Amino acid sequence: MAKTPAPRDLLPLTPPVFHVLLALADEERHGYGIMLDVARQTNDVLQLGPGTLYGCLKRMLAAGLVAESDERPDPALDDERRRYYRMTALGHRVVRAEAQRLANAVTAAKAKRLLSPRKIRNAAGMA
Amino acid sequence: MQHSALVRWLCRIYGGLLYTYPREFRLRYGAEMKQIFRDRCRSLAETQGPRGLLRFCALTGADWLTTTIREGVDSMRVANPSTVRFALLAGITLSLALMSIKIFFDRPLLAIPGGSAYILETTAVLLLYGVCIVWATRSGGPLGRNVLLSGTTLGLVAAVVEIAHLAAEDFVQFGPPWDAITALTSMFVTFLIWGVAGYRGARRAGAIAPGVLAGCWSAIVTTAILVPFGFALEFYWAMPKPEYVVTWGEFQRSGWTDVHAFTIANTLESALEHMVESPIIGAIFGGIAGALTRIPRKPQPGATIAQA
Repeated sequence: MAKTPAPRDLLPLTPPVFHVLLALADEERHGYGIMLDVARQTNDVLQLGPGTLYGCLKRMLAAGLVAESDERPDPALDDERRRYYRMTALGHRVVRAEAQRLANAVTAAKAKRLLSPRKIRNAAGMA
Repeated sequence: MQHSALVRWLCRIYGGLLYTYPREFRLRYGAEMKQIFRDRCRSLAETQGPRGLLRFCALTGADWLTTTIREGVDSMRVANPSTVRFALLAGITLSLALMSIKIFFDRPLLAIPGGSAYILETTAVLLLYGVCIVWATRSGGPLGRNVLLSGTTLGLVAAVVEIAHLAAEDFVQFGPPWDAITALTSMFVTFLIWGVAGYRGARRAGAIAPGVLAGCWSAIVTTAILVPFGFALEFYWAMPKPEYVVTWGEFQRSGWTDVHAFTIANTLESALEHMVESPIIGAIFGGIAGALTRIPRKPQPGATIAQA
């Protein structure tokens, strides 16, 4: 039986994989939903093309970070051909570990005075 | 809806571009990719007009270019055993075809007493290779999927080394002592690669025997690819000239008078030797490399500190 990898073995994540996992952190989504959520999260800085998105999903499915969902949130309103994806327990642990890794990097950058709160807001497009 | 004709055309073009992705990927994700492309185009056509559509198409074009290459490379890496079987059996079939055509249209070997033995022996060993390939790549085969695929990859690498050496031998005249040096180097690198296949097989399984099998399998892959290339080269592209063959010590010792028949027999004998010896050498190197995995390693000084 294949051994489940430790989250730290899968780090660091590529930006598309990290943001796809973030998109799936709160709810199951179909491909287009993930694409829109990633663009929203990153203020349109990261716009996933269909090839990148499904290439990522293919590798994430193989690594057990996401799984195809059997349920449809609203079958009456939605196109039944769409596939929905959900984050697995491993995916959850991995995205938390990556977020922590990035938070540590931000802390280190702050300690070196490379970041100021204003710069962070500007970078996030919140200024 | 505004720009609906443009969106329809863009979707058609994108649908065509999807055919450049590997078949398996396209069948699994192609419909979804097309659907989200259409959804995004419709949304942008309504909110941003042609300029937004153009920007999205440029993004998608760049995305298509990079991911089609990536998925193509990926699909080669995750080739399944049936693909390996098909490719290697194609190599065996090609070898048989190249040999048969040469002998059918160019019959001096059949006229020599005992000449048909070369043909029969080579044919029998090629068929035996076919049986081994089917046996090794069958579902639940002796190697296991991962060892089979990594052994195949390493066998391919060794085949490239051997093909380069064979081509260099025929087309580039290094002269002594470089001929011997290149021959020894290519042989050493090939054996080393088979050893690596054995090492990986043994390490993965935690036993030496799978390493022996992996080394042997890697050698079979190399030979199954090398033999048709060798036949194509020696029978058709760069058949040695008779005036050159008569200078060979082997020819002079053989007592044969038909240079052409000797050249064909010599190529068949060389292929036969490769096919018989390679799996044995691969198994030996695989076994030696596999035995290396059983040597207990000294604990690293830092490991104790880290554990503490």
